[in-house]
Amino acid sequence: MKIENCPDFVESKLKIITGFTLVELIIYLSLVSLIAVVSISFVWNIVNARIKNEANQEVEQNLRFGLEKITQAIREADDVSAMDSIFNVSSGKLTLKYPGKDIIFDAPVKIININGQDVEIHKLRIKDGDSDPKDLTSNKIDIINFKLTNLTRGLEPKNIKINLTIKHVNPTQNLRWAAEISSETASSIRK
Amino acid sequence: MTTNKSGQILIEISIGVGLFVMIAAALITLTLGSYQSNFQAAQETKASHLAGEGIEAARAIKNYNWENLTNGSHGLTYANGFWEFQGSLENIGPYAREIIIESLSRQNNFCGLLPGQDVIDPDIKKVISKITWKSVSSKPRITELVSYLSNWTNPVKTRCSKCELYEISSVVEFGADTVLDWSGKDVVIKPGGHLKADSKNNPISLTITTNCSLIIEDGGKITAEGALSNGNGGVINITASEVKIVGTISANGYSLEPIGLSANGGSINIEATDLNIPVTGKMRAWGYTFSPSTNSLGGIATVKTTNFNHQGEISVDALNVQSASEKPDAGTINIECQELVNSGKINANTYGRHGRAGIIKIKTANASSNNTNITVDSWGITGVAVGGKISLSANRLNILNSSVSAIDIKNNKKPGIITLIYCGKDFTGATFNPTPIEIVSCP
Repeated sequence: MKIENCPDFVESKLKIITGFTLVELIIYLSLVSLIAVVSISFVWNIVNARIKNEANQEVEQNLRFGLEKITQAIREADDVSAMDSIFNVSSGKLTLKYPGKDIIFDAPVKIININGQDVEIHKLRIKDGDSDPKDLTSNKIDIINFKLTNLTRGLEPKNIKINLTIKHVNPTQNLRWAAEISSETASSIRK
Repeated sequence: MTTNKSGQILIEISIGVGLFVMIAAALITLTLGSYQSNFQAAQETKASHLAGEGIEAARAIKNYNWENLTNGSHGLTYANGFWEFQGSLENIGPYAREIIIESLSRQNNFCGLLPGQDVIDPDIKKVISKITWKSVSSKPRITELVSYLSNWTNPVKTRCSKCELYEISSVVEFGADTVLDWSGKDVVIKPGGHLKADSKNNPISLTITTNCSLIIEDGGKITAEGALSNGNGGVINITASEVKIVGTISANGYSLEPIGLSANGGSINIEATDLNIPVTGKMRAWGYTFSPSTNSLGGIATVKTTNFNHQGEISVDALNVQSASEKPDAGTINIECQELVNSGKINANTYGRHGRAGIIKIKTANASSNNTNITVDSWGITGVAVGGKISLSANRLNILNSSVSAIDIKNNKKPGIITLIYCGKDFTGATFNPTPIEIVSCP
């Protein structure tokens, strides 16, 4: 519609300014809202994923370290003391004979404090001779299965199968920290 | 002007949305990628542990019996409480494990073999533990561990020489001192085969030399024994690259009442790089008689070798149960080698009334004895009866779960002497009678 006595350039200017402001505002608000919602969702997901990854890496590193330590110790041992070991249970014990000493692996219960709350976990540990036992897994890890199986045949060097299942400590049952891994391997005495 | 401004805003929005989508896509990819790689790393870790377990299981199977390590693809089971091969594949959750055993060839220039003519080494196998599974993206993934296992405890050895096989399956008699030069021959004395140099008028000496091997199979014999016309044992000399005694070598002195001849044991001398006497193998130089007033001294056994695997019997015993005046003294055993693995019997005992036990001298760089019986005992009943002498010398002297004795059994008054010379030792489960003299001597 033509505005009377109004120069053409003024008319067009007025129209543009008025219509664009409204459209711009709507589009602007919509886009900003959309971007904000998606961005927050992304950031949240990324944070969650980072925590999940951290939990997964923690359990994996502990599993690898624990199994590597045990298999190495079995290889270098003189013998496995079947009398002083506990086989075929979920909380096993392995006693290895070394010259002048024993090396013992077990997974006893330990109470740790997380954010003021006492939590009961099992920790994989090593006792080398007369020295105090040392933890092989961190406070963030709970051993839920440490099963040893003696698969030695006859008089051949001892062969021990190890099943290890560990999970991330998660007293609040938060899905972000829910990480669990299990693996199995075996090792023979070399002597 | 107006049209241009509107267009610019639209383009700006498009660019903005485009950029946002790109950044969002990148972030999604990164996040998912990170999660996926984490998951995949965990799978790789498990696969690597399973592969390691496969290698250790194959090692356990090998340790029990080398022959069980048959070529081909195998699955594993431990249903019977020990590792065994079962089937050609084993499924463990999403993973499939396959143990592949392969023979290896060895180039042997000594044999003058051309390329492509390498011989299979029966004492070594290549073991591949192969784990396959499907990744998150359903792509097949493989983890492999390779190890080489060897039959080092009881090697068959690849004999690749220009030695010609020479088998003896019948009795071959020698009436006088004889030297048999069998250079270039792998001599095998089959069951029923017998190199017989037993004395007729005088003891006979039999000398065998070869730069190859001499194998006396179970039921095969080399003898230089005393006979009724002359009771003294003869002499057997053997020089070879490798000697294996599954059957018998004997130079016994032998006499029966009422002939009354002396019946002294002869002498057996072996020089070889490798000497192997399995459980059934016997090396004897006894003095053996039932005649009154007859000598029956034990003989002499001498071994010089690099590697000596002994599970059988070496004895130079003396026996005379009837003589009231003679002394059936046992003989002497001398063993010199680099590596001794011993679980057999080494005896220089006497069973006569006045018997004096013999002497055993073993000198080696490393000696490992388990469940062995080393004795120089006297079973004599008179005051003359006396235990013998044992001297064991090694840089590393291991005597496990064994009996070492040099005693006067009946009277228990005149024990012999046991001397142990070593730098390092392990005598777990070993009994010594009498208490040994221990001398620590390190190079």
